Amino acid sequence: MRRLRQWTRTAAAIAALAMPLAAQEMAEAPISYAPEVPAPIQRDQPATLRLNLETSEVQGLLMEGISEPTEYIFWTFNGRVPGPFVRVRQGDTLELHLSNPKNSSMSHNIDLHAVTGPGGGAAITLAQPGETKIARMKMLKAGLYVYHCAAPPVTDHIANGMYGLILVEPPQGLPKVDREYYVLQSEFYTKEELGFEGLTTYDREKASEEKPTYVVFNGRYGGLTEDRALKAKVGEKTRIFFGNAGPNLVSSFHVIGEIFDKVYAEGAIESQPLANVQTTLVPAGGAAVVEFALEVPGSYTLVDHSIFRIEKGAVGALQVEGEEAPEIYSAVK
Amino acid sequence: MAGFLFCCPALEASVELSSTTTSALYPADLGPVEIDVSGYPPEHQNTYREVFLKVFGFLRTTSRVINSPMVEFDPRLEEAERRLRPETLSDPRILVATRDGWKKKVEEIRRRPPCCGACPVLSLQEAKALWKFLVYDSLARKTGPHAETWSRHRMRLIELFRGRYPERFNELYAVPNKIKEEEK
Repeated sequence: MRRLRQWTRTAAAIAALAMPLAAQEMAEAPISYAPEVPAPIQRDQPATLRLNLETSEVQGLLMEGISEPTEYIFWTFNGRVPGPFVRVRQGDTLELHLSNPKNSSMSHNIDLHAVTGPGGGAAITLAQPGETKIARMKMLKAGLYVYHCAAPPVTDHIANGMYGLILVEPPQGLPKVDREYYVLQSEFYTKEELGFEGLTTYDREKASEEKPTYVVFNGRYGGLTEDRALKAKVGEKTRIFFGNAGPNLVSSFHVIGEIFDKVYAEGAIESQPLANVQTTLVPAGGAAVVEFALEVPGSYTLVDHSIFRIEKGAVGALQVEGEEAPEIYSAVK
Repeated sequence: MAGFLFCCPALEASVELSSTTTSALYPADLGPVEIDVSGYPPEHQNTYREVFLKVFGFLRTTSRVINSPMVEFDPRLEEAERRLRPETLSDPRILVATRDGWKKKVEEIRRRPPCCGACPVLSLQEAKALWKFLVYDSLARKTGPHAETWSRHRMRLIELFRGRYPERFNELYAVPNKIKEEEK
């Protein structure tokens, strides 16, 4: 009887220990979609975070047309191009759940440049149609990193839209700013000419020759113009997390009419930033963090300063509202 | 076609060097820089004032567009025009018939991105309106009952151009079809 009571107490204790663990839901990794960025992390301890990504092929808008839109079949993470912006803290462990639905026509995986280990995760996340792969990866080093699908052929998976950014904040966080934005440059290679109205299709040969039809910000021509333009106010400090998914071109990122007060080149946010930069080079598969204060209202144009690319879509707008500053900028005659 | 009957700008009285043109590259540059749109439907009048003048007035003189030989036809309309006035459509100096010439032009302008924050940028809605306006306006002034007036206007511009810019004239018209590509 005594033994039974002891056994019961032990079982109850195990159950008490196990229940919270089973019931406790792992926190979700904060994510957002371009041009939004998740709020800065407030935690002062590392955590294990779950990141759910689902791969899918989605027919979507590549460019608005005067009579019909240009559409494209994008290969995506979570149905969007670019994929989500993921924000974690150095020391966090990311538990990635990568689901590839049954109706998928190919396998997918993920290579996060933030991850240390073979393939950056690709080697342990290859999901066949109908599979979900789960992997745990510790975020050892702070920085802004690109992630992308690396299933063979990796070229096609990147060229068709499977990429995004992950920010690993240093433990002390980043300096406070007023606004943060997520901008990602990439190319699309199509058989039909730019602006073709209807469903345009992937041209592997053009991709191989590195001759893009479209060079775009945030997954589509006009991704940062009209009602999709970035917004800010005079006096605000703005930070852009800028990534370049390629697959081929190096970006010369520039904001017309602004000077970057700080540039964390290559996404190396624990390095000393460069000061007063006009244009920053961002390699394919790389990123940069730029910060600038806004002193004069008006429209500022984001470009890849390899300037002909603006006609292929590598152009966006930052609309700044506020009081004029004639002591800084004014017409005389 | 009936909708085009009420507009007949006085083009023939306006063959003067455009005030904004210092040197002309095409005969069209020598023509008027404005048109009378008072007989046009209100949406086209509005597009003319708010979009057409803003865009073309900023980029260059509006005369090249106003006096361009280009028209955008649907096949049915073109066939009717050819049947009624075969002579105007057979001369590319007078009319260049296209399926989507204005649409391509507007797309081209829309793709010209802003560089300074001051130059006009076409929104999608403005681009659509501008395209519709250009199609309507060119059909209204250049075809149907106004085809003959238009033809005389174009020939006067060309003669004027020949007198003022003989070298450029030869460059343009030495190869008969060259105007098709350039003067749009």
